[in-house]
Amino acid sequence: MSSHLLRIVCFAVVLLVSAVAGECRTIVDMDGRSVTLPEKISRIVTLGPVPVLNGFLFAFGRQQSIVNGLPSELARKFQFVFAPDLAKRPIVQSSASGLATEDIIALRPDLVLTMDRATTDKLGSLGLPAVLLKWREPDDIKRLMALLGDILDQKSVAADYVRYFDATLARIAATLGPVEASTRPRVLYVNYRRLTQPHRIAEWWIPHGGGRSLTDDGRDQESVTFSLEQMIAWDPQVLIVADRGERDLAMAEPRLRDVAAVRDKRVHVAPAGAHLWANRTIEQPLTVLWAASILHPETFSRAMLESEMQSFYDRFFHISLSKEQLDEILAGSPGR
Amino acid sequence: MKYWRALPAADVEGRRLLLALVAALVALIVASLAIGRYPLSLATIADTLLGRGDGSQSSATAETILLLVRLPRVATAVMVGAGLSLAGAAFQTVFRNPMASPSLLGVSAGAGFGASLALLFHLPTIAVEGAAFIGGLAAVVASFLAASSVRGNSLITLILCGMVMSALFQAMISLVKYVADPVDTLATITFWLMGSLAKADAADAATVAAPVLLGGATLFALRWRISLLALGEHEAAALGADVARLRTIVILCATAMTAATVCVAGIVGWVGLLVPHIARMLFGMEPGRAMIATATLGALFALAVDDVARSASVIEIPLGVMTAVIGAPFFLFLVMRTRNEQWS
Repeated sequence: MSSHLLRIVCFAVVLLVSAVAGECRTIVDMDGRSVTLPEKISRIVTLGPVPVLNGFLFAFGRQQSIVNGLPSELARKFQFVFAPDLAKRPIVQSSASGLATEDIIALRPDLVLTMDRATTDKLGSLGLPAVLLKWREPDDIKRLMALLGDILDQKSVAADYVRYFDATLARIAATLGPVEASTRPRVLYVNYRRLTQPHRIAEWWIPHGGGRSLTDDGRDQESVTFSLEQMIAWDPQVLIVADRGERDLAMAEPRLRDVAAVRDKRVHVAPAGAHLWANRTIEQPLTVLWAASILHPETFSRAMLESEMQSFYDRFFHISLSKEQLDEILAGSPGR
Repeated sequence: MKYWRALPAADVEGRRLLLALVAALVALIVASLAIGRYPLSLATIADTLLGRGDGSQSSATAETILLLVRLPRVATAVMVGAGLSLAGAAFQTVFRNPMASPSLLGVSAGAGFGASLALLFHLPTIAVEGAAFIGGLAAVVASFLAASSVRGNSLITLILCGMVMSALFQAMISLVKYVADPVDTLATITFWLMGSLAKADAADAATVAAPVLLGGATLFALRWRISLLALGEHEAAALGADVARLRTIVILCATAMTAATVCVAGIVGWVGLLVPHIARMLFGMEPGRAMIATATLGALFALAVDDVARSASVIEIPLGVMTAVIGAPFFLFLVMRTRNEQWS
């Protein structure tokens, strides 16, 4: 009798172990580390650049899977439009107190997404399924989306996004046609308060939008700082800033009065949707189209851009935006 | 303690050297107007300065570059260099300590904290400058109050209290940086603290010029009495100096000058420590000559470094980083060169 009972217990244990083993799988993240994840991902924590990471998940229609909120310093209005429940979620990171590790564990995430190695290592050592996503070179977004498609078991969505990405860029390039380097407008994406070009990704989307970035010297570093005189010497025809406060500052600066962009009132605020379009964001194909529309308005109309935005957010975020909301995204952040 | 060299040259030779130094500063100021990322010919510069512009677009741009960008920046660099050097020399004399610098009583850290706090709350530039000034003064007042509450108040006590205040305000800067929004504000604070004249305008030049000229003039008027302080408190008092009052005036002037420079340029280190030593080596201890030489050398150094910072490449190198990179090894070179002769 006792040996019979023992056989039954052993059988149950084997079944349990095999069932557990069957529910798990191992993936390799963008830093080359192996991470064991449950088969079904339904609770996701995003850490670090939360709006950027949330944007990737919005594209998979996974708004409901995000279980953490937005830190106040990173909050953007449209994050709550795309995922209204974010406002109710607990905030597990802040600039003041760093990561609330115990709160993250309490959220019982199936997946933790980060974009920095130290956080990934720290959470990984605690047994959390932390996956590092990298986006340094422009094409990394495609690898990143493919990996997420694999993790979320939504490979077709990832493939659809990559197709859309390539097709949109190809369509913009075909519409632009061959543009002589000398006839491309001189463009400067600037953080005017710090006199810095803050993100190398702008060296990618400005030329794809038909412009010539004045800070594109093939540098490796993420940002570059320059003097006011250098800015005047560059004489940009188009200035792109991150918020409306910066635009007001630039327009009111007497020392910039002879700069073509200020003189011709071509100082533009980068749109802000899930994230600032001028920086790395899932909305990057729209960034290129927006850049083309402000650099070559005769070829790329505002109506065309709005129609594309409508289609993008509907197709990937599963949300239909009103004309007012499109206008609000295109008006950019009000700034401080 | 003997930390200066006797006048190395004859009086006349010293005066000639000083004149040459002033002439070099004037020449560098003129050259600085011609140096920059925007190409301007000498003829254009002359026409613009003489108001002979032809009203064209290029003429208007030349006017903007020269009168609104370069001239204020050059003036600010001159005032920052002169102010920090004079403040450093004053602190070294009052505290009879060759390692004294404008940051000794926590001025730089206090001013840095004030500015960081203003940047944290996204206040406008004028408020950032005001907060830096108030922070600098607050640090010195706190050092004085702490020192006066210690029995047997002495210069050493004041220096120690200054070091404590400096450490405290540095920690508070770290706290502000820690709670700052890492996406934007933290970078702004970090950039500001590195020190830069990248956006210096006429208002900045005026902000730094007023305390530097006023403080410099006061120190110059009191130069002979101040020189008595170098002999020590008791000796100076025996020679009729009101030591406590004199020390307070000198520290106030030096603090105001330092705080004003931090207001517009961030924390620019090494100028106030290095330049007074070079001036004493070259021009000796005669108070008037040493002061003029210190101010002129300081202005020359800051202006030359800023010229490189803004012109060497497309990338603007922070002024505070440049002065540290040049100042630290040069200071070490001076120490090795003079060895026991001056540092015993």
